[in-house]
Amino acid sequence: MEKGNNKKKLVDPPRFGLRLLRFYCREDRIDEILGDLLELFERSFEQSPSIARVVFMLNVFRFMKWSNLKMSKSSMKIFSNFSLYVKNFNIARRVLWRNKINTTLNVISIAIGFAGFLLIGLVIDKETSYDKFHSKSARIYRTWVKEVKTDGKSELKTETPLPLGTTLKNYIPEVEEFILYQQRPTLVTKGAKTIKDEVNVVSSNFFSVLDFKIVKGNAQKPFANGYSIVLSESYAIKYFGGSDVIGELLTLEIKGENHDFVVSAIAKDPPHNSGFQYSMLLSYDNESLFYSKKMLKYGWYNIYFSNPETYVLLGKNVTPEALTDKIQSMVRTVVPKDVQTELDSYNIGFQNLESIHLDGSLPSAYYVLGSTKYLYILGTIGLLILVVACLNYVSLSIAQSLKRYKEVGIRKVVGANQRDLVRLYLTESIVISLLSTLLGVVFAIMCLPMFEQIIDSNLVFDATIGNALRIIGLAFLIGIASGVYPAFILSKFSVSGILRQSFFSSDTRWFQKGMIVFQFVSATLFISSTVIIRKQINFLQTADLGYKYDAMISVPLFTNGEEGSGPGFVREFNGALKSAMLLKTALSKHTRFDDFAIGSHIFGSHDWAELSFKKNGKQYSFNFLIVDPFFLDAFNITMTRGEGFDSDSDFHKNQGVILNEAAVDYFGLNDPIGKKLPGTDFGEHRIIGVVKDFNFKSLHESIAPLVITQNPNAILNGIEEISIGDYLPKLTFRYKGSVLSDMSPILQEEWQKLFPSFDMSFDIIEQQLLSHYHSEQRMSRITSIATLLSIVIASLGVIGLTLLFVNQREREIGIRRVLGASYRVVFGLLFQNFRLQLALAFIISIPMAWYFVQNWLSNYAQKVNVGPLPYILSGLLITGVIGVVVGIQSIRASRINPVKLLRD
Amino acid sequence: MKGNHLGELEELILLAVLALEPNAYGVAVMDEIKMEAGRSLTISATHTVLRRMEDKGYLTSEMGGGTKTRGGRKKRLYKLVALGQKKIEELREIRLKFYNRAEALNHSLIGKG
Repeated sequence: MEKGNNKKKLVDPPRFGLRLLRFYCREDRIDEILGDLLELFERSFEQSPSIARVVFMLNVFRFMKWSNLKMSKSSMKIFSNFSLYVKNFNIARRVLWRNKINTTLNVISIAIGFAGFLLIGLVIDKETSYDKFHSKSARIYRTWVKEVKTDGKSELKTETPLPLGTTLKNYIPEVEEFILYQQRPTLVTKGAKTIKDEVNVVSSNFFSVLDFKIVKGNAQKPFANGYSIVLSESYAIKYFGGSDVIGELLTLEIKGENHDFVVSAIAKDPPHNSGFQYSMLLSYDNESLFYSKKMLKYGWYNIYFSNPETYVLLGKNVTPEALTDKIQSMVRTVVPKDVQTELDSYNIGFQNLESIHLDGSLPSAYYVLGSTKYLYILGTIGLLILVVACLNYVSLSIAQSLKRYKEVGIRKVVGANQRDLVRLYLTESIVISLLSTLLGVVFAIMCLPMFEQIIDSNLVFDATIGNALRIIGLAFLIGIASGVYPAFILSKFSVSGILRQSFFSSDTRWFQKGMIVFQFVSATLFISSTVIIRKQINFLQTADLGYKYDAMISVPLFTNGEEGSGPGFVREFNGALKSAMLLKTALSKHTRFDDFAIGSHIFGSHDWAELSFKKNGKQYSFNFLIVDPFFLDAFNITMTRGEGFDSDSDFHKNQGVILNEAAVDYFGLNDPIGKKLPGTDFGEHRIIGVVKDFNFKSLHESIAPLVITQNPNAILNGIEEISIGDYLPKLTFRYKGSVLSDMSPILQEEWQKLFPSFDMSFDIIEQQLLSHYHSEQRMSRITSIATLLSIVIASLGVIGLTLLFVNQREREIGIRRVLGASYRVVFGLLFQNFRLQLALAFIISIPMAWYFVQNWLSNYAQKVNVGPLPYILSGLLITGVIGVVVGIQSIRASRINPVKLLRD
Repeated sequence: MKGNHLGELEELILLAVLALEPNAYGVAVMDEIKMEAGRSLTISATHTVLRRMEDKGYLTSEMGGGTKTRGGRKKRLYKLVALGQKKIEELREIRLKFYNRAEALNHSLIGKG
């Protein structure tokens, strides 16, 4: 058959281009595109085949656009779903905008809840992250020592024996490094001024094991020698006004002697979430500076209050449990026989750095401890507030849904099925949730400084992408969780049900009622807890402690050289006693200063001297107080037996001992007057009197046995262990003027005359006593705020519901008004919705509150009596608040002109 | 509504479709514009604008007429719709108005056609 001119030779375009095009191009356009491309190809092929091919390829690439791409089934689905959500979003947006009031109520209530939740989350975040930022933190452990005594009592300490670190490093190869950490109050002199400040003493590898930054100086060797001092940035500013101070001099008083230290480096301030809150650091390179030869030699005995904590760095993948045997054999070899009285009576254990802060089972010498209990309480409060806010939204939405029955009906008639509607309404609640969380974040940021003050701690708000994502995720969660139920309810409206105007199944009604009850219960709980906590605090602050402390001021004195005999601290004490006497003489010239007394420890301090000794295998511990003869009278402490100190009596001065009732019981003395303390090694002394028990420690504890004397040496001879606290004498006096602060300039003047180079400070004893109850006050502040928030949220909910109810029953209200109903009737009508819920809430919350309160009060040896009053008060309060809220709405409702209502 | 104004290219393409009816499809429109206006368009640009004009409602299209030359692939044939015609008319009015004014004011302006 002859081939005509019309028959063109079919040539193939580049195969790769074809395949590529078929690969990416969507089915519904490939025909026209490929067709055109082929036409062009064939056209230009005649002129130049190669150019034709190139142009073809180029064109294939040119057509590679989003709009031409193939959509696989699933990606098509995502695309169509996406546009669906956008549509839903727009619908939701319009709906919310139309109902501004309702939307605002919803948004604000969730925002408040979220803000509270967020702030509390910050606290929990911080508290659980202590010292996790060090690169080696997983391998760092703090050591503790537990000695089991012959009487079965064991003593657990984190002050550790001096040789422990070195011994562990030498004997156990898995211990790579150890660091020592200690904090002590020290007199710091710069130029002519001396103040008492906190100083840390650490081993010189402190900065290489832990990740604290050195900003100035040699990061590898921050301590040049044993007389170097490293300052944190804020302390450099405190002393020198700037941080460029390498080479400057500070004089510190250690063990009664002044030494000069040269600033060799500046460290960055420790972050708030670290238990090592260092200020100024010295190194242990020069050990003998801090400890006497005796202490260094007999380091395994007597662990003093001035011993450091020891931390070890273990090798990779080494667990402390694996080292138990090695440690036991080390103990047997190294620890002297008379310290480890029996086998296995001397135990050394480890605590991982990351878990120290929240571990309440071990005491802490210097590392800052937090409390898990407190975190649990905070967390519960935060969660509760958020849940209450969300429940608010749920109940409001359900109620609002009544207004939308027409909308649902029409949607269904036009063809929406239930799933579509669910998606629609869910989108609505997600939009609200996103708005609310945004607002909540703004609230949280605004309230952050106030919150930090309330909880007495510093927080960090990290504006990281990670956190932003977490918040958005939470917002979605909240939106879905709160929106699910209302969405289902709304979408379940059947068209016939709408026509019949019967909307809710009885289940929904019960659920709605239940939610309101829950809100009221939590509000009531908060109110009663707050009331009771305040009561307890009031009790703690005003209870009779057994001594009079009003208008009492205490002034701490400094050592002015050592005096007398006995152990070091006693000599320091006697030296300072001289200064006390000088000050007393100077001040007694002024008529308004009276009731002078001198004591080694003062009311309101947290460390009291604790001594212990053994007799017949039994261990006795007691508290110890050194006084002048006027102390007991100055504070109006009553004697129950024998006599008080006579200032003229030398016998009283050298040998007189006074016990409190608790001590008499403790030592089992029937007729204590004229007798001595049990124990064989005491010096000459005689018990001359017994005082009525007074609360020298905080009311958290019951009254401990107390031994009071003027001459400490007699007693000190007979004891084995001692923990002395802040022992330098304080001069106390009562200021009889009307304005307490007037005494300050007089005090300053006299002080300057006597001790010009020492910084003067004084404490008002009344205020010092309050410092015992910081955590209670903090808890009180927190619960007060939580109460306020929950009442606000519950009120918002009630407002919303009442509004809706009024809306729904407009006509009924109008008719009643026309028939002559008074405001009160309208109020009754509206309030009826909540009557039952309030009563129920009251009944439920009482046992719960009672349980929590008992739990909390068990922390105190002495507590206030909780009558029924707080509970009744809380019930009344919340009823009152809700009543007011409903009342306002009912007045508004009653004011509406009935004619207008009925005309509709 | 946004995007109501016709760009120059879009106007050209609408005119080309008008001229080529009922055979207005990708390659033909591209060739026509090359011939009449001297503008070289890529085939993908042409397709894009044609599609956009259809989305805006100035054109309609339907598939039709596959020949052996295109490997049997059908073409998408475009047609001007009422809205599109109106748009073109409007533009023509506006242009004429301006040209007339210009002529009235400036005799030196020499216009073709």
